[in-house]
Amino acid sequence: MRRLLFGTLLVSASLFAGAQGESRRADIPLGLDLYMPVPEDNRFTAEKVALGKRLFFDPVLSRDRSLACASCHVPSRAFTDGRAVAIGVFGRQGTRSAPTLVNRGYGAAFFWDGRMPTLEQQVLQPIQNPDEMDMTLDEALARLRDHPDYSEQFRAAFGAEASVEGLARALAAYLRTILSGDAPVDRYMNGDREALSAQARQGLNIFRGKGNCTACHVGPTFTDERFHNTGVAWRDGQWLDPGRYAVSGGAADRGAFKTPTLRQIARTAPYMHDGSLASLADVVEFYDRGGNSNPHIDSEVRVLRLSDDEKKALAGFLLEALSGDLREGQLR
Amino acid sequence: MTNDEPNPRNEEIRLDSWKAIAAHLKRDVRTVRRWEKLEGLPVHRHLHQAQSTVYAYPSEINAWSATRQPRREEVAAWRRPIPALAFAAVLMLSLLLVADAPYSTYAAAAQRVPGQSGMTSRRVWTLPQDGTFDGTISADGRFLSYPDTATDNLVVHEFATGRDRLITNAAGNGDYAFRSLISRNGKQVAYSWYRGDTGRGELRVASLEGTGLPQSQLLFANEDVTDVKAFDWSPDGNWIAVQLERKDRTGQIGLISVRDGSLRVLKSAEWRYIFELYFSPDGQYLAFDLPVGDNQQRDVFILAVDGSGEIPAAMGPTQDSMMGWSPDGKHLLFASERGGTVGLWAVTIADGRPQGPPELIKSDITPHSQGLSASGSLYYGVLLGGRDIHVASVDLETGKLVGELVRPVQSFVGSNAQPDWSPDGKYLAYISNRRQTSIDRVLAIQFVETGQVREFRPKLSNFQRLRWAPDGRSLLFQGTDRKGRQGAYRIDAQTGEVRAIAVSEPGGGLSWPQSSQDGRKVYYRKGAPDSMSLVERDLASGNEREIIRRNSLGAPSLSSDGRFIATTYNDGATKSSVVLLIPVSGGEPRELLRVSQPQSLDQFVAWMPDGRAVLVNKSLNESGDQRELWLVPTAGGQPRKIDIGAAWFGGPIKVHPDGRQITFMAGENNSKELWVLENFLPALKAAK
Repeated sequence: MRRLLFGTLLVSASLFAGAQGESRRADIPLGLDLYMPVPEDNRFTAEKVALGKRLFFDPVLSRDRSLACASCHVPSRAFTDGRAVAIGVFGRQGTRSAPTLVNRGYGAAFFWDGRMPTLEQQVLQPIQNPDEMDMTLDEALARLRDHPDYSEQFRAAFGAEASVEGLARALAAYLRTILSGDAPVDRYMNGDREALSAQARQGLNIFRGKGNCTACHVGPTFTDERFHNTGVAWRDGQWLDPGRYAVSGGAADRGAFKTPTLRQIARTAPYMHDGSLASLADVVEFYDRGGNSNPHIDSEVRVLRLSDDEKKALAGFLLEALSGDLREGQLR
Repeated sequence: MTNDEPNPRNEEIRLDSWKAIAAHLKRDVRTVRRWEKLEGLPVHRHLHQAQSTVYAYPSEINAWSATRQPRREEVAAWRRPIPALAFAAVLMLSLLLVADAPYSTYAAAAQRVPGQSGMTSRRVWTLPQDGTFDGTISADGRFLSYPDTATDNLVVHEFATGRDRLITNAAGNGDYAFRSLISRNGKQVAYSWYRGDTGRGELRVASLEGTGLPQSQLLFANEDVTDVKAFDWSPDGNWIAVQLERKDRTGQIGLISVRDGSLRVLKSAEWRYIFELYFSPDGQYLAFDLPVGDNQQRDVFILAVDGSGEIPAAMGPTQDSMMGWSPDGKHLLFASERGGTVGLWAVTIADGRPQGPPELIKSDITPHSQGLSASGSLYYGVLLGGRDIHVASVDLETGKLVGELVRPVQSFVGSNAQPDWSPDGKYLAYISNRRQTSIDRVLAIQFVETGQVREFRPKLSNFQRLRWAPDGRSLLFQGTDRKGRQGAYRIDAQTGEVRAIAVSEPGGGLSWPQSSQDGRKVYYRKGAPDSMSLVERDLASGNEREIIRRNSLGAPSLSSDGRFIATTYNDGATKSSVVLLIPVSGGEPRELLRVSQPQSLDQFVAWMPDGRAVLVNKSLNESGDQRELWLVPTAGGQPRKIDIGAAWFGGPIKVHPDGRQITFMAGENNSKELWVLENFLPALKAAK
C-alpha cells in the first residue's frame, strides 16, 4: 500500500513539481561506468544535490533529533558505522549492519534483502523505521516545512514546498553522487602495471580465479546486485535471518543476501550483513571453508583450499586495491 | 582390470606446440588458435607453468576434425519454417547465383522485393573461401574490409576492380586480424589484432591512402583486456566504439580515442556480449544488441555516448540484433524474429528515443550486417550451402539405403548439427549455431511429426554434445559457463531450465555426459589424453567411480541396458583404432573392431536399440574425406558396411528407436556472399 501511495506521489510530483536548475551529471571517477542509470524524473541539479546533502547530515529527520542518515553512514568510514549492527534512536538496536552507500547509483536493488527497487523508495524507509529514525513522513514534512531554510531550499530545488517526493528525490540524488573509484585496481586495469604490489597482483589473480570471488563481486562496482546464500545466517541448523526469502517467498532465497560492493572495503569492517566477521582475514577464512553449509547454499560457494600464502595475497588485494578516491556531492 | 595404467610406449606422439598442431591440421597457427577459442579444438595446457604451453594429441585432433562443423558453413535460408517448395526455390536461386561473375551479372540477378516499391536486393560479391563476415562496407560502397583466415591478414576488397589490398602482414606466429571497420571518410581502417605472443587482442589503425602495404599504428592494448573488438567509427572520426573482454571474461562497451588511444568505459555488461554496435549519424548515441533476462534473447538499446542515459529501442520475446542506422539517423534498423522469420525491421528514432512500434521492411534477411553506405544501402552477408543434419532410412539386413536421404530440419539450414532423437523417437534435438563471427548457439527440439521447433538459449558461453536422458524429459550436454568453467549440464526439455551436474576443475576436461536409465548416475569422459578416464558419477552423493583409464578414449556411449559402454580407442603403439566394449561394473574390455592406418575410427559409437550391434564411422584415409559407416555386432559376427547415401558424413551418429533411421551430419561446404538491399529507405519514408 505504501509503495502504491509513493508511486502515486511520484507521478503527481512529476506533474506539479518540475525540477529547478540546470541538469548536471555526476563526476564519475576512473573505473566506474560513465553511464549511471539516473531516473529521468530525477536528473541531477546542483540545488537538489545540495538539499539532499543537507538532509543526509541533519538529525531533524529522527524522532529525538539525535540521528541523521550520516550517523550510521559515516563518510570517514566509507559511509558505514563500524558497528556489527546499526543503532537507532533511543539506542534501539537493529538486526543488520549499515551497508556502505558508495556507488549505489549503479544499484538495482536496495537493502540487504533488496526489498526496495529504487533509491527514491529506499531513502524514505530508515526515516520511518522504528528502530532507526522512527518518524512518520507527515512528521518529517512538518519539521521541514517549519524550517525556513529548508522551505527555501525545496523551492530552489523543486519550485515547491517540502514534499515526500522532494525529500526522496533530493536524498536519492545526493546518494548517487557518493562515488568510489580511481583505486589502485582501477589504475592497474587501465594500464598502470605498477599500481598494485606483487602481492596484490597475486591476490587479484586469486580473486578472479581460484577464489571464485568474481562469481558475485563482478564489474566496476564489485557486485552483481543479486542475492546469494553463503550461509552467514545459518547457525546451529537454523536461520537467524530469512534474508531475501522475506521479500520473494521463494524457498531457494532463504538466507540469501545481496552481494555488497567491495569498494572501500578496507574501511567498512565489520563484514557481512550481520557484521559477524571482524576482519578481511576472517572473511577469506569463511569463504575458504566454503561458507556455512546449509540446504540452500549458493552453488558458487564451495571449499577453496587456499594456501596461507594465497589467503594473505587475497586479503592483501582487498585491503590495498579497492579503496581509492571517495567523493560525494560533486557534479559537472 | 578397470584401471589400465597408461604404457608410455603406447602413447601417441604428442603435438607440443601451436606450430605442430597447425602442421598436423595443414592450417596456419592463427587458424588453429581461433578454432581452439571458438570451436573447441582439443588443445591442452600445462597449467602449472607460469607461461602456459600447449599440447594436443593427433587422435583427438583427428576426431574433432572429422566432426567439426565449420563456422563458415552457415545459413542457406533464414526462413523459419520454410515449406519444402519454398526451400527448393531458395536453393535453386542460390545455385543460380553462387558462381562468381562480373558486376553486370549481379545486377541482372537482382531481386525485386515483393510488396515494397523499388526495394531490391542483389548479390555483390562472393567472398573467398577463407574470408569471413567480420568487416564493414565503406561509406561509398566501393570497398569491403574482411579478415582472410587463410593468411591471417586483413584485406580490403575493391568491387570495381576486383582487387584485394593487403592491410597487414601476419608473420605466421599466431598473430591474426579479426574485426575491422573502414572510417567514414574512407581514409583509414581500424582493426582488431590478436597477438600470439601475448595471447591478447589489441586495436590498430592503418591508412588506406596510397598503395601497397600500409603502416599500422597501435591504438590500444592493455594487459587486463584479452579482446578488443572494433565496431564503429564516430562520424567525426575521433572515436572508435569497441567491446572489451576483460581477463575475468566480462564485457564492456567503450570508446577509444583515435587521437591518443585513451579509453572511456561507458557500460559494463558482466558476462554478456554484443553482436553489433553502431554510432548514430549525429554521433550522439550508440545502438547495440545485448542479451537480457534468463532466456538470453537479445534486445536493442540506445546509449548516449556521454553516458547520460540508456533506453531500450526494440524489446520483445524474440531475438533482435542490430543492423545499422539510416543515414539521416531517423531510423534504427535491426534483424528480428518477431515476425516468425528473421526479418529486417526499422524503428523511427527522434532525440535518441524510439517513436512508435517497429515496422517490417523485409521479411527475410540474414543478421550479418556489414553496415550501410552513405546512400542508405544495407550490405549483409549470406551463407549458402548445405552441410546440415540428415536422416537416412536403411535396411540393416542388406546394408542398403531405403528411399532418399532427407533433411529433417528446414530452418537455419547450414547451421544445425549434433542431432539426437528422444527415447520415444518423437523429438529430434539439435544445436543451431547462428552466427559466423560470434557464438550464438540455440538448443532446438523439433517435434518430428509436425516440424514444430522449441528453442532455448542456455545461459552458457558454449555447449555441445547433446544426449537425451532416458526419461525423455531432459537432455544432458557438455558446456562452458560464462566464467569459462567446463562441466556437464542438464536442460529441462519443457522449460529450458539449465542445471549443472558437475563442473570440472581447470584442465579437468569433462565431456560427453550421459544419464543412466534410472537417472541416478551420469557417465562422462574426464581428463587429458595422457590420463583419460570414463567415470560414473552418483548424482545423490556426488561420488565418482573410474571405469577405465586409457591414454586416448573416444566418446562413451552407454548401452540401453546400462551394462556396457562402447567407445573407440586409438592405439598409438600399433597405429590402429579400436572399438571397445567396456563392462560398466568392471572387467576386461573387449575389442569389437580394429582398423590400422591409414584407416581410422571416429570417436562416436552409436548403439542399435536392441543392443546387438553398434555403428561406427570409419575414415578410409588420413584426410578423412572418404568415409564408411559400419555395423559391428557386439556378440561376435562379421562387421558390415551400411550405405547411407552421403558422399561425406560425420559427427555423432544416432539411431532412431525404430532401428531403421540414422541421423548424422552430411552435405557440401557452404559459400559466403555479400548482398545489398537498396531503395528500402524511400519505402520506409513513404510509409510514414
